[in-house]
Amino acid sequence: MIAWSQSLIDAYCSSWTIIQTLEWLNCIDLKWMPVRRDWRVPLVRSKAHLSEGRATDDGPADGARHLFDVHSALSERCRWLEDEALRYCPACVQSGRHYQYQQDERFLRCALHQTRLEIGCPHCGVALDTRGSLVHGFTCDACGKTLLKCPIPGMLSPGESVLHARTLDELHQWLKDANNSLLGYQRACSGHTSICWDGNRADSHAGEYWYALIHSPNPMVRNALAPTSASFRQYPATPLVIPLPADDCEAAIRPYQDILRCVARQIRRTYLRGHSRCRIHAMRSVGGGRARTFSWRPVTLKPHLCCAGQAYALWLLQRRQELSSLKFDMGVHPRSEVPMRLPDLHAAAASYISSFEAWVANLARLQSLVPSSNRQSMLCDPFSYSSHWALHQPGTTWSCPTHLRLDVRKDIGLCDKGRVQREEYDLVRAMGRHSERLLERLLRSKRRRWAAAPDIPL
Amino acid sequence: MEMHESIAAIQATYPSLRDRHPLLMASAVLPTAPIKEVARLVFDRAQRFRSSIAFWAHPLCGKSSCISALQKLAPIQCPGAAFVIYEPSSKDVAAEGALIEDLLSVIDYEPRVLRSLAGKRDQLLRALYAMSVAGRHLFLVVDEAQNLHVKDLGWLKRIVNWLNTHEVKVTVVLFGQSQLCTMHQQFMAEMPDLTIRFMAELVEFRSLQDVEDLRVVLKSCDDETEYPRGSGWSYTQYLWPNAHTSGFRLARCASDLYDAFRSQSAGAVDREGISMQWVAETLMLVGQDGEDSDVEGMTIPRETWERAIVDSGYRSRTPAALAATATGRSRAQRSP
Repeated sequence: MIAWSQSLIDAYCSSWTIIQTLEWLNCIDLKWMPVRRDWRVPLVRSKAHLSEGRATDDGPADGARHLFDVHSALSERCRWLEDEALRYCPACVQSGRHYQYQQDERFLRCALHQTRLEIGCPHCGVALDTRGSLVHGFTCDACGKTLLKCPIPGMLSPGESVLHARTLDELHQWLKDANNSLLGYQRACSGHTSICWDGNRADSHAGEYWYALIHSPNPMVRNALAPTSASFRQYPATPLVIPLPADDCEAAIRPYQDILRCVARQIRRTYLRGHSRCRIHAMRSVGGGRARTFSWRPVTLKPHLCCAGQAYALWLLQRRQELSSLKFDMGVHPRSEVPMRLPDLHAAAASYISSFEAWVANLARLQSLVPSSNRQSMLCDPFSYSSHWALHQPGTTWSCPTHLRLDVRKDIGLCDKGRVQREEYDLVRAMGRHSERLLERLLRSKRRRWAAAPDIPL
Repeated sequence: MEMHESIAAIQATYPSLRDRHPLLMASAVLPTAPIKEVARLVFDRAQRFRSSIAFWAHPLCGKSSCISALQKLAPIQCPGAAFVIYEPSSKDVAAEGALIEDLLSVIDYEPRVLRSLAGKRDQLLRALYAMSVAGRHLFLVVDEAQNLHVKDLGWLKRIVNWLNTHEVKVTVVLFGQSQLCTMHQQFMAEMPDLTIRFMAELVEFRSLQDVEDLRVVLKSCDDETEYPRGSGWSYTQYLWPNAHTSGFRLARCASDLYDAFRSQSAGAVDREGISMQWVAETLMLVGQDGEDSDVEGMTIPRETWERAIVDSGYRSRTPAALAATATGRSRAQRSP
């Protein structure tokens, strides 16, 4: 058996709490395995692994007793955490508790204690993470001090635990209702996409909960939420009555410009990692940068070059043009009687991502059609090319079939030049470091020899 | 018709299950009168936040069966309570590390045990806490308690105190042999606090005294037991299905069995009673012949009981199972 009791955790505490409690009870350090994405439990006869996955009937493969209970607790979705810095309530953590909602940057304060959420060890300030790499059994590795105030984690007085349970039930019910009410016109292909790209960042989701508070007021949530600007009111949740005044057009489009900028940055950091040279070159040749004026001219494509970089340039160009034309359309009288709708920001972000993937897929297909010996440029008209999914859609159908069909295509870039250049760069740097070390060692040995040598009489 | 089906169903399981019948393995845990007394005393004391009781008995009286019975009853009487059975080995020098490692081993602790004494102690305390926190109650049963060193009691006291501090009730039950009485007197002089803590009450775990005690045991085979689990068949019904259908009950043989013991004991039964071990051995030997003798209207005559008692090695002070092993005599080759 391993020491474990379900009584020491509550229904909503996070995976961090479970892991820390398990470590505290057994006086062991669980190691986070980033590749396997699970924790390794050191046992005498074997090694067991715990993950935030779905609990299987047979429990962990290594089958230690009670590990199945831990695994079941970890498999509950309300306990899962992203890989990020631990954000905690000092009062909760003193009793060995941490909750998923505390990682949400929209919350500024703890819903239970109304204390400000903090980051870093309360004693030494060293950064803590949600995987518990730097804290074991509620004790900070850096300063060796415990985060607990009570002698046993999870030990609350009966009255306190009942009160907390009631508050957390209420909070989670509110969160569930709020998230359901905020579902956009277009549902993303999976919830994971938006989490992956935006996370619970205050800047990307700011105001959503404030918006939900209008419909279902809750003083506890209102006190805990981070203040946000009034811009959340501009979320186009209802059909737009056009034409709009120029200022309103600007205000309605601004969140989409922000989300486009956010997604573009994320694409550069993830999909185009190692393709920076390709991207810069393509931005120059294709356009898409800020300097480009939107003229309805065809752009030049080079099929023998990286499709990822060129797809990015084309995608950005098309998206900016779309926003620009949308702003214009909102200011003029509609051509038809169909009301104008815009998707919510979740849906827009998902659409932006998948439209980029669609561009990469198209260019990759083009590359495969053109012989590799071909060094000729081709002309392309990205403006007349049917957009993957435009923000502005008439009618009441808001699901994008292409978006739902596409898989995540992280590896679709056929170019490896960026990677090769990166490897070369790393090699040169490694050689430089090696030669520096050699030189330093040589100098040190010479200094030692000089120091040991007898004084030479003049 | 239904009865015949039931008999056929029982007999169909004989090839695979009959040999593992608790009566035929002399391993049945039966609610005897002494066990019921012990359970009543223990669960009465268990109401207190910190309590202890000690039982002493002669060998083969059924102490281990009594502990098994307590283990089965504990979740019913105190839901969520942890039940730890510790059997200390006889040793000259007591060591806290060894005691902690023994206890960790008893609870089948799988994580790596730390090297430092403080670390081991923390591991044990926290593991016991985790086990008992659901019901906020821990039963610590020490079998062969006469092997405990006085220092062991001191260390156990620390564990009990720690758990009490963290709002866990602890009930310590000591089971030992007659040396426990000597130990009690000795400790009372040297360490009265420990004696009061762990052996506040020293009670004799008596053997079966009279025919009524024996009837309780046999009646439990008829009514209160079940084999295989979930089948609804009592021990008697499983071993003698045809006879059981026609009304045969072991409880009716209590007087014959008691008389048989008296006749074989040369007066010892009146002085010492009957150890549960001999009853179990006798039932085992009678049950082994059950398949052949199972007919409607079956009775077990007193001669059969007497023969089984003789074959069990009663009064030779060596259990029949051990005697059979030592002499190479197979139980199946029992003389008719």
